[in-house]
Amino acid sequence: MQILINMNFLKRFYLFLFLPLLFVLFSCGETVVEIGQNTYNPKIVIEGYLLPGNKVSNIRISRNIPLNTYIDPKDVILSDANVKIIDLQNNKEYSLKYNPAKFSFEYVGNDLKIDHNNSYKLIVSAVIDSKQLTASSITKVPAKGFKLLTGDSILDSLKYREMNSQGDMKNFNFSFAPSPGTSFYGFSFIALDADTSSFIFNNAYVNVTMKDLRERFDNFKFRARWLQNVNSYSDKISLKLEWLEIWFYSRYRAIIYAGDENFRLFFLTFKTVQEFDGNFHEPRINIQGDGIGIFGSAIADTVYFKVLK
Amino acid sequence: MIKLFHHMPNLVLLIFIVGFLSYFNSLGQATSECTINGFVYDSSNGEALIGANIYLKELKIGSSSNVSGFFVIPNVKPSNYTLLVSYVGYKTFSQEITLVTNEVKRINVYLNQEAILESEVVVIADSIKIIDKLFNKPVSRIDLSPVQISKVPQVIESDLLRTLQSLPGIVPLSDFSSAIYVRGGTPDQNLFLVDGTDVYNPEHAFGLFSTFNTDAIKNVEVYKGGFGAEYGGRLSSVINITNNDGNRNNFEGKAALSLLSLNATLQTPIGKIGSLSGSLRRTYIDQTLAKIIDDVPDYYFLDGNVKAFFDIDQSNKLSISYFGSLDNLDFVLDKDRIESIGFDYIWGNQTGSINWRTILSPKIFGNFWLTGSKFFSDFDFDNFELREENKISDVTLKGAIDYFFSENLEFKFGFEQKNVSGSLKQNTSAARVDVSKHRKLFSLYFISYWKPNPLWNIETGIRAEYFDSDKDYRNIDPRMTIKYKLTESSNLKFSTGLFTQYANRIPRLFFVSVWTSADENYQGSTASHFILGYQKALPYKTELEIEFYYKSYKNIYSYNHTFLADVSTNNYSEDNLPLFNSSKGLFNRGNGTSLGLELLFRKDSGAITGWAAYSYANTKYELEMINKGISFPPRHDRTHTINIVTNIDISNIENEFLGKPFIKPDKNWTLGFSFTYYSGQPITLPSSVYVINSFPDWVGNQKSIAIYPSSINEFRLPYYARLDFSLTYNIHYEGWTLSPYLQIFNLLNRKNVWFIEYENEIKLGTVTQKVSNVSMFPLLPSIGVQCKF
Repeated sequence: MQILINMNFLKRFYLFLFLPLLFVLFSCGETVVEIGQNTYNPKIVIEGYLLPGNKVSNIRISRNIPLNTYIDPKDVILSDANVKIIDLQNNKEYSLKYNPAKFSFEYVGNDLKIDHNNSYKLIVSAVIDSKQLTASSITKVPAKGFKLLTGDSILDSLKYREMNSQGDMKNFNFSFAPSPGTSFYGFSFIALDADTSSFIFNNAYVNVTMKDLRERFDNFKFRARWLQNVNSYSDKISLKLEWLEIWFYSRYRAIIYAGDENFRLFFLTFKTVQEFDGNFHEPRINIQGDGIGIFGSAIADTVYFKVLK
Repeated sequence: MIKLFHHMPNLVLLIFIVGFLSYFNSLGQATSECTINGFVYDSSNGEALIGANIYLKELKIGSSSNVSGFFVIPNVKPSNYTLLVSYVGYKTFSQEITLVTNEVKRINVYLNQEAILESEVVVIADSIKIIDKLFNKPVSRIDLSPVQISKVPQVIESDLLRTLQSLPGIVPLSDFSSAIYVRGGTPDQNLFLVDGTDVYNPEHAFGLFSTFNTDAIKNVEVYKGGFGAEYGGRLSSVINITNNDGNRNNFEGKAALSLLSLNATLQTPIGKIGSLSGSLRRTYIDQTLAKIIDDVPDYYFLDGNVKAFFDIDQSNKLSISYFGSLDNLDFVLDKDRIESIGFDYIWGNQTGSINWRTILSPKIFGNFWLTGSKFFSDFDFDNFELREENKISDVTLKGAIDYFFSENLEFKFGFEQKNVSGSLKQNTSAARVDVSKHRKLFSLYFISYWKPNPLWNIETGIRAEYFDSDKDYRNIDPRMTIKYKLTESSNLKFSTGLFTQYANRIPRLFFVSVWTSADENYQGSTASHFILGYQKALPYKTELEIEFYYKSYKNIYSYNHTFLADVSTNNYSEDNLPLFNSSKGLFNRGNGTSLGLELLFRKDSGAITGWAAYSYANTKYELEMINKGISFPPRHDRTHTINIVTNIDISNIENEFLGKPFIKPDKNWTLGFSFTYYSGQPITLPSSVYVINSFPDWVGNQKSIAIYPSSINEFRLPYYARLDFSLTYNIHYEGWTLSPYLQIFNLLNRKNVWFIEYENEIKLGTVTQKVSNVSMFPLLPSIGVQCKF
């Protein structure tokens, strides 16, 4: 009887030992996610903007690149692509030519005029990895009216975090008259004299080492702000530039863009495709077919200012 | 089969009508004259016992105690009977009673726990008919005691929501979140109730821990679906937490110290009229590590609750409960710089409730609540114009009346009136958000519990709601549950119902969630549940539950990750910048389905306790503007899940195996293991990168590289597995228990992939993409000590 009890005990005991071993087998080690060609889907990348009054130029047509590969950006340009633009006011078609000096397509004739409130369609076809791909997009050029109001702005030059006589911080300020119907405005700031010697290491906010600066140099040099959903039928709109955007004692070039719907959707979503749980989502891109990127239009105004020591 | 599911709302309504008409046939059958009623209490502390079985041995009829411990056996013929009262972990109570004509007999039962501390040798007798307990339990409900919660090894200290993540049908998104996804639903589809009060964001430390202090909890009921008409407002689940009423016999205390927090719980009788219970927990990293190490942020959280219970008289009980939590983060990026980038962030919950329970007549029991709940958060960025105030509060009046019409028919009527106010204010240099909304929800419900014979139990309910918003909404949700005793040791259960939800949550990176509601832009969400269950009582006090479920969702809302591109307004501030006061653009509307099978093998008593569970799940969402409208599995869809939670009383393990009586030594070790396996989580991977600039004039910017994703959640991560371990040494001395413990989360240090990180580099004109896997928690050991007296 005692033997039977012990046998029973041993059977249960072995089962009891077996389970933890099974857990151990599953619960150790490391797995990795391989990303390569299995996720890749070729696309035509369009990067082109129409500016009213300007010729059609700098339309960059390239291809996307599989992840974890080494590719020279120059190799991704689709110089053989068939690129044409249609003026939707009269449905007239214009073929664009590749300019190897600028790595982009342009229209060389003088009969295509980009005008406010007009719509244009870009059609691109190209062969990538032996696949024939086509992409198209339509942009409507913003209405006339956008203009930087230099008289109402605070520009020219300021010392870094300069105070006024009341002890309040002075800021660069950009005031502009909006384009009626255009509620999106992008602000591009580039430090023209940016280098490691002009960087404001002694800034008020955070310690940046030389190593950090070298790794993220362009993140400090190129800065962006935007306004959206503004009252486009008002007389004046302003943007105060926070000192947090300034990282160099330098001359700065600011270009303000009154962007169309394509510009707005692309700008607001193309970089922020990774969610906080690490997953990805689609950007909002107004390109039909096998294309990604931006074919937009904008009215631009440029101004310079300087940050002094 | 799938076509049948598409017609499910109609099917649910049809079943409801048939069931409803059936029990009306039985209304005239009640002829008995006496009534037995009373309360069931734990003799050691006077706490009411919920779900105890009360039987008349001779008639084989009975009842079970409700949330207040109250029971009624109506319409009993005058005679001599044996009353049996049983409850898991307690000795069965037996009393001979004599009923005379028209007598209303009040019997308050005090049950003794099975393990008697004073004795060195105790016998764990299986006094409970497990199958009766299972039969009385609603479909898809799992009950957890604080002891069970505290025994599951977790990150640093025990946590209610993380323990729920080890139950079948409930999964997390990652190690870093205590949020729960129940049977394919999202966290905002879970209703959290603490002493009858809604809790909106039950999270500490950005979701790493839940706000519920395990030591303050008396009982947790988790409804994974098919819940009765008394619950509404959510599509997926109800987590009903009842805090300790307080010990009515003796002063009792508990203190705990973990690597995260200090925790104390005290309970005391208030003379003979009631009891008082209170808990307080606070983290101490801000007072210790943060003062020494610069990189540790100045952060703490605290939570606490107080509950007072009053026995006003034999028929009236009153409890007053308060719960509060607070998180405070004062972050400075570079502590050496006076104007360093930094922010202050503070958020918290406050809830309060007054609950009056009364015996209105021998057959009528009333339960009434006045509750209030508030969640707030304030954020202020130090060097940037960015401020946010987020607030949601509600005041609710609700009541429920149980009418024990006959021994086989019981009714429940209830009402709820909820007044909700929410506001969100944001100030930035580019825009302003100013949303302030007031909503009212009126609910009425009616439930019948019909037992045509001892083998069948049919619950039929209906819940009607009127939601007063910018646009008014109405809904009528039928619910039904049928239970059948298949054999002496097995039950079959079926449940179905419609569920409506008017609240939506906006999950946000870093910031706490914001709640919105149905309005002129977004209507309410609905879901149909269809659940078939089988239960079996097995030898060695074990039980098996198998459930199949199908859920369909209509008008569910997923946070729009590109909402910046979709928000719109016609309102402007004086400087012509936008003033947002509408929810338009915040969500992607859609539909979905969830299908699954769950197996739960559970053992609640003995030297080895715990559960083993397997679940299969398949969830698909179809959302506008996501994945071109094509259905896709959401991130929380886990096809196969295995959970094994085991706790071992080392002193008695041999006795358990050999069938010998258990011993209760002065010192003993307990060992805990928790094993988790999930098959791969769906993920959207980047399909490629492309060179593009943010602005036309940014040519030459070497960071101008963007990622383009694959189809949504097209891929699956590798499987997730984890083994956790705990070891506790209990020292019992003159009524005191000291328990130092060691817990190891992810004992074998498996690197479970969380997501993929990318870094683009340009070297010598060549683009390189570095791809690296970001793993979840590595091996995390922690120690602590608990003291009880």
